[in-house]
Amino acid sequence: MHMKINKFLIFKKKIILILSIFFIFFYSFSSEAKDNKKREKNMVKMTKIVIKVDRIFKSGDIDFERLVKIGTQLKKLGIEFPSYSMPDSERGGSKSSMWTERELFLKMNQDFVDAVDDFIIASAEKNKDEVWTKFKVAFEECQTCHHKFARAKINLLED
Amino acid sequence: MTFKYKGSSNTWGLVAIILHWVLAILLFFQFASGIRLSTLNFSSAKLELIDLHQSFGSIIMILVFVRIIWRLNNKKPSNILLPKYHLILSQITHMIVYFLLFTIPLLGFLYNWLSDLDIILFGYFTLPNIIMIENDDIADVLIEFHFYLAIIFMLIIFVHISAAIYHLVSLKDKYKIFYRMNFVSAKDKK
Repeated sequence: MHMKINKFLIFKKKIILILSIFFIFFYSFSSEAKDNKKREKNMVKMTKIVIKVDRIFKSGDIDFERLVKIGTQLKKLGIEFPSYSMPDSERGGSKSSMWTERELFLKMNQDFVDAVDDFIIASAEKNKDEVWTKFKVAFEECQTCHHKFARAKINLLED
Repeated sequence: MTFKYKGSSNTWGLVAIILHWVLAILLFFQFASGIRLSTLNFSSAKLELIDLHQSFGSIIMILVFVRIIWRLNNKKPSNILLPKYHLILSQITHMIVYFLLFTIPLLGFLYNWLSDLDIILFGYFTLPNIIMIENDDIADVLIEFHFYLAIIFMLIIFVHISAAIYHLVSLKDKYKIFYRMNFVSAKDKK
């Protein structure tokens, strides 16, 4: 009986050791040079903010201070975005053009950041029509960039 | 022409039948729009489709509540003649269907509320945010569950439709499974 318990305990220790090595191996492997998760997370946040602004306008209940706040968050995320697509990045949900046409990507990202900046200024001035116009410009920048550099979630054939 | 609104031994009754078919149409739209949303690139059309998907999802959740309350308070058609394994399989499938019918829209609601996104029904009515907590990380996990549960749900619905067709075509509806969800069964013959 004691023999069986001892064997079981040794077996358990081995399993824990193997699982730990397995976990450490995969954790270190996945945390190295694979910033596509960070990039996708950043993009999800930006997309949500754009949807948020769209719904604020649809609801008709416009809080300009809220718009300035979320516009500032959007600008920060836009500035950070290119740093999550280094040359050794995994493609994830992005098209290969994000790397092969790098200068265009950086320019389009900067255009988006500038458009968001205009949106923040208009929001601070509390001019509803101007805020909507500037939002549409930023939205157009989003759209163009997505068409050029993003793959849809389950559209696996898209390059 | 009069109808039996409540269920009896050979019909689900007009109210349950209408709820069933309306939900079927709405679910078909939700599956189609959900798949389209997953393949659509970011655009204003996508935002409009998200709004519609949400609005119909909210309607589904309300109708599911009504359906469950109605079902609990009304007589169900008799299943005495149905083979036992048919009955067990159908009960399991229906339990999963109700669970998913409730859970998937709820996850959608929670995603929006946790992301501080307003839910506007058909562009007219804003649902109040009853959570008042913002947590994007949890919201993102929940919307992944919403997506994968919806795929499982499509498979379950496929099983449900296949079983209905099996009863209608192979078994010539001898257990009246198809008939009892048909509007004809709700007609009052008196």
